[in-house]
Amino acid sequence: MKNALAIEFQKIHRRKIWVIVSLLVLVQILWSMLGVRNMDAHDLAQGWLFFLYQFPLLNSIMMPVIAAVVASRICDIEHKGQTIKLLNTLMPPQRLFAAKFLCGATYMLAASILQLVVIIAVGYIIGFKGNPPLDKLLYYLLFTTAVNLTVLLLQQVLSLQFKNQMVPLSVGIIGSFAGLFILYFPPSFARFILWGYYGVLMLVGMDWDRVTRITDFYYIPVNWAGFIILAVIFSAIYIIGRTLFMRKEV
Amino acid sequence: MSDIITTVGLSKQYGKILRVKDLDLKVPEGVVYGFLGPNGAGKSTTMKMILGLVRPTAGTVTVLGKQVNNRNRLAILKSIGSLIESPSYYGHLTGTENLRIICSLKGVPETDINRVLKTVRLENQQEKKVSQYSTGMKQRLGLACALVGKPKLLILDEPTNGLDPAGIQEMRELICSLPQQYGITVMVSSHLLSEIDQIATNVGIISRGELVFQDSLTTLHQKSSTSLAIRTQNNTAAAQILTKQNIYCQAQDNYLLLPKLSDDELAGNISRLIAQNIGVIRIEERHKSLEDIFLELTGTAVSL
Repeated sequence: MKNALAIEFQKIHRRKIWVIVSLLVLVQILWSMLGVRNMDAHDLAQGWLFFLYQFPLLNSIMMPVIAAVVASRICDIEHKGQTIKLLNTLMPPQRLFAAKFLCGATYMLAASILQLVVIIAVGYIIGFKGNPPLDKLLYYLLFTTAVNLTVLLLQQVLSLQFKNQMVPLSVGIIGSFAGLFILYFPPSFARFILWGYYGVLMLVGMDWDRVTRITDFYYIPVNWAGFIILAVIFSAIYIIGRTLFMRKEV
Repeated sequence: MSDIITTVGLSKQYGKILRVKDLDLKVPEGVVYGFLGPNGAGKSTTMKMILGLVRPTAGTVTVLGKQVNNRNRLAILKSIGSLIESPSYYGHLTGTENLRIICSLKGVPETDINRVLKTVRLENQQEKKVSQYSTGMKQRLGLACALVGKPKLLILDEPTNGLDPAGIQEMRELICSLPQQYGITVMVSSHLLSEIDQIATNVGIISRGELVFQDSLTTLHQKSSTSLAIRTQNNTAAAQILTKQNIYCQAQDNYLLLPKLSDDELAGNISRLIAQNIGVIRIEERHKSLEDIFLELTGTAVSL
């Protein structure tokens, strides 16, 4: 498996996937900076909560697109060069499927970690009150990565199934809109679509007082039920996607 | 000589159509086996079934003495190189980088890269991106990938497709040299009779999914023996006279078709006819070409 993963990285040499990942994360960072420009004492006191509220929303817009692009860049080389028929004579297809996923997962994990580092750094620079809530930030990293990987997996299945990469890329874009849009519905709705899980697994809630026009953020309990459902969705996509890939005759 | 590939009752059905029917192939070791058939006859499907890329509807495939199943497939394929239809490559990588991937996949040391590049004469293009290669170069790179790890058997599906005449010639020479140089058995498919005639020692002809001929090329050539056709003023009487001389003749379009005779025999018999007052108008030599045989066997016009 180690060899198969190393080969995946050899294959994507010069595909500049890291450029796309860092560019999109950079955009997210700039966007988040807009929100912290004019913070007063009240806001600064709630700074960490604000970020833990804002970033999942940003993620639901941008991460599906990053996942779609990463998966597509990793998978379309096999369609372009018609290499699957060659690879099928050299390695078990299930190993190829797993190696591709791990390769993409590395980028998605890097994106989440990069984002977390930036959250902490910006928090310190702006001067958020109190130490960063490490436990919450680690939960945030875990949940963001979990949703990212599930979305990536779905994108990989689509990218391997369809020669025309417009199909998986469109699904990624539609997903990113759907994930954001569903957050405007009652919270129970978001559970029904994969891209809604950035919202489902949020650690912070928001209370907006109509009279005082003051926004208050508060921690909400970790949604383990949602996390388990996500794990089930992941397993289902993995099994179905891998079976589809293995059954494909070339 | 043992057989390196044997298939028994190999069949493949797509939808309701049986694309390959009850194929019993026997590819002897150390030969260049030409797998000939018109377009759409089922050549690629058969080769894919041998490689396990397509699951047979019925029948078995035995390669290198082992019956291929899902568990031992990859272990057996380690000693097989293949090039199916168009070559497989990563266009954004160089030739060497492509071969490095194949080496890792086959578990072969990277030192093999130079050897295969030299064999296919690509050593000067190895640092160029494959997307900038010509079709011929891509095809040669495909062959290089197949040759990595010194396989015992090569399965090449239409390796000269899309090449220019010089490329075709080069590919043919390359294929012909493989059995002698490396002891590799080659199974090569083509829809071109002339091509198989030039490179193969053994031939299997497939038509509409069925094997219609399988033997050595020499045997196929023997079928194309010459015959004589004579036309006389009275063919019926002439036939009687010749039959008396134990010469089998067959009437066809005002001609009598005779087997090949020596000059003396023919002269003697012609004198005999003239002595009986039967005027001989024409004596022709009829040559049954390989194309005629191919046509007879497949019922399809051969493309040359």
